[in-house]
Amino acid sequence: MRAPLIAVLLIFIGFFFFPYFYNTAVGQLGASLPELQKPLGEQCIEDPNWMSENHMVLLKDWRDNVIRKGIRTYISDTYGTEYNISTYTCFECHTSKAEFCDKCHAYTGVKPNCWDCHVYPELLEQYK
Amino acid sequence: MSFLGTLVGVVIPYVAAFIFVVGVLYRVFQWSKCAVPFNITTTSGQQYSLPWLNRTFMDRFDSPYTGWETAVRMLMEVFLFRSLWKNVRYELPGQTAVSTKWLWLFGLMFHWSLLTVLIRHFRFFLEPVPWFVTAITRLDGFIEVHLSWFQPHVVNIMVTGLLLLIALLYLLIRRIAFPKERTFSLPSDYIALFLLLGVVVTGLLMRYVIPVNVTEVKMLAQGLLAFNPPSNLDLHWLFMLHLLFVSTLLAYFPFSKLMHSAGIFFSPTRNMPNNPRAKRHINPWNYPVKGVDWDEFYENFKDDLDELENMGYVVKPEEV
Repeated sequence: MRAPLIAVLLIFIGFFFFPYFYNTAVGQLGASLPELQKPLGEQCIEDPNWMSENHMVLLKDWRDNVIRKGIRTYISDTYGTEYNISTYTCFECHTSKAEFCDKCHAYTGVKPNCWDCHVYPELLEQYK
Repeated sequence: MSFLGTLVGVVIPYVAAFIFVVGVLYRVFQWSKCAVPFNITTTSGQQYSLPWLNRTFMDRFDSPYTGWETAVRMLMEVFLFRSLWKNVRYELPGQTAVSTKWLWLFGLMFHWSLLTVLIRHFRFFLEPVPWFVTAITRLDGFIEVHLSWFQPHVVNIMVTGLLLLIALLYLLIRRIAFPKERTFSLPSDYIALFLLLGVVVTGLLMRYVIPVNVTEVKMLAQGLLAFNPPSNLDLHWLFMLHLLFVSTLLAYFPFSKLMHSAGIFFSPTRNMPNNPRAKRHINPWNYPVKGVDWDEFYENFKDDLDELENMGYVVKPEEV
């Protein structure tokens, strides 16, 4: 029974061990979280750890507040500071999409649809 | 990481993966060494015999004659569950066989969804994430939602994840509610379903109800792949539970009916061509038979044979 054995081994190696071979071939075996660009400002609008896990929730909240409710100000839960709700507020410190946003998104295979409509720092730089 | 975190996040997955790999390879090699005494192909079409006997196009695959026809039938079995498509239920009052395709439908739904979900999980194991994983994820999540009363982090509903749950629930309810299926269900049937349900439910909870930090999940997966697991992770309990279910399933896999995934390829009823008339199938269990030639036979029964010959019978066979 040679043929089924070969078929099963091919599937087994091709599927179960594929990540190992792929990562080794690409040279990224055991790649840890990529280094992010250091933001310019002193502190983020909320706790950085909270932001790294929940920025998408905050951004959707901002979108709804501005577009649906017309609220343009945001008061930080952590620091009590007032911020203008806009992506430009983010851009003041995070000056690059490629060096900041894309790093983690590429790492976890997430493709957010923010940039389908919104402008990002590199594009602003280009048309200044 | 805490002791429990190291145990569930690192030790148990390694042990489970080891059992899985060694167990599957062991069983597969055992199967490949099994003798096949007879050609027992199942057929449901006209066999290839004489040139004037007409065969339809599908007869070639329902009763395969060549190697590639057998391979095509096997692929149709693996990808389309063709034999389940022919599933019938015998109705007593009318004494008729009624076609029931529910098992085919939900079985197919389950297996294809599982494959898609597994490929989507490659985003945790592959670095960089290749295009086909992203493409499948986007296709899978083509339903976009925004519900203010529900989890705000949810953007895309992953169809296959929910189909997986629906199909598994059907497969479970089928065994519990249908009298015949209830009778022939064994504990091992339920264990496989419960383990898979555990994996699916914890996975869906992570996506829709209790979000976890995916970067840490990926860092753990990458560390495990490189045999250099990170020690500074703060993994969510729900992810730990998910991982524990997956590890249990992996470790249980080689000993269970889940081995049908490899066993289908070793089914003699499926992987042999239906050509016993054209090609003799030799039973490997046959002991060597030593023949007896005429001279030896004559020596053994000399007196009786001579007597018969004297009575006028032809005793010596014609020379061939």
